Amino acid sequence: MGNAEIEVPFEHFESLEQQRDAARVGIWLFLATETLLFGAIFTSFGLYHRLFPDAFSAASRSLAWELEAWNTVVLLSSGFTMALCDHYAAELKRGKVILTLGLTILLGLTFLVLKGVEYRGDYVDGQVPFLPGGWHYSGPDPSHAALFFNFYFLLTGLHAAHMVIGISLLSILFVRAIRWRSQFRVRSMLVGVGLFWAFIDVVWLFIYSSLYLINRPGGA
Amino acid sequence: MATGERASVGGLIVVYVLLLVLLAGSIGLSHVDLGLVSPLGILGIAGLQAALIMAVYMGLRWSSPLVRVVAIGGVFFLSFLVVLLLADYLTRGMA
Repeated sequence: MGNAEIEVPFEHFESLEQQRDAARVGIWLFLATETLLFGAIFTSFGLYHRLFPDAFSAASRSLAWELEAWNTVVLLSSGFTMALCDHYAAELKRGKVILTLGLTILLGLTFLVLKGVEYRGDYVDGQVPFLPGGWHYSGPDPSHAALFFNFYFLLTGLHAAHMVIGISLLSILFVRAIRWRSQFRVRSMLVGVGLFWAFIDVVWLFIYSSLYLINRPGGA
Repeated sequence: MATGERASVGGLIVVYVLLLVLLAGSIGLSHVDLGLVSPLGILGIAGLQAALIMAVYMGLRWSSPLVRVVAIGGVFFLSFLVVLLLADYLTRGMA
């Protein structure tokens, strides 16, 4: 146990390097399918934006971009602490792994809370077309604006669902890091979860740019 | 920036600061009316941020060629989807 543990590859791998590469390839393949999932929704969003530019632009300008700017900072910070965690895990520094994992979980939860605050504001402002009593939009072309808000909730909701999955996986890792029974297993799991968490960051950057920013006053 | 097969702590901090600066640039661009340049610039900055995260936080810079091919393959397949879909929608009614 502890520092006396020696890492050996599973029997079907020739070396540790090959084993790690196989794990990384597997996670990246999974992320490729996720890219196609989000990419298809983004593409549909872009096509409808082109069909109904005025309705989509006006609806986009009613979103809380300032709040989500801070949320983006929170998420980028969580991506940074996760990368730090991955770095310290490679050096098998248990204390720093626990600290950075805890920070990442806290930042992830903060993101979700702020997202909840935004959703509440959307409901109060009547911008939730699929909820009873949640739709009394006063902007132009409400029927096509409703389409924008459906895309908005689909993309941000799907992203939030990925956050919940990510935080759950991080929490499991957090417990394992505290126990530190198999440091190499913790490290290999961290690589996968770290890639997933960074992917969530990347998806959010495109969500924030395309839903919140490109239609602001300076946008086309 | 790197310590062998991964980014150093200093390198990770530099990327974090760069990501925040790019975010500020993106928000700034959304408040300036530059016609098509504004939305394209904002999406371009998002692409640059994504590339930074993939290269450093996700370790592609230090990954084996196999891992890089698989990672870039995901983006490649997405481009097939987008291009073929647009080739359909944007050319409807042209015949």
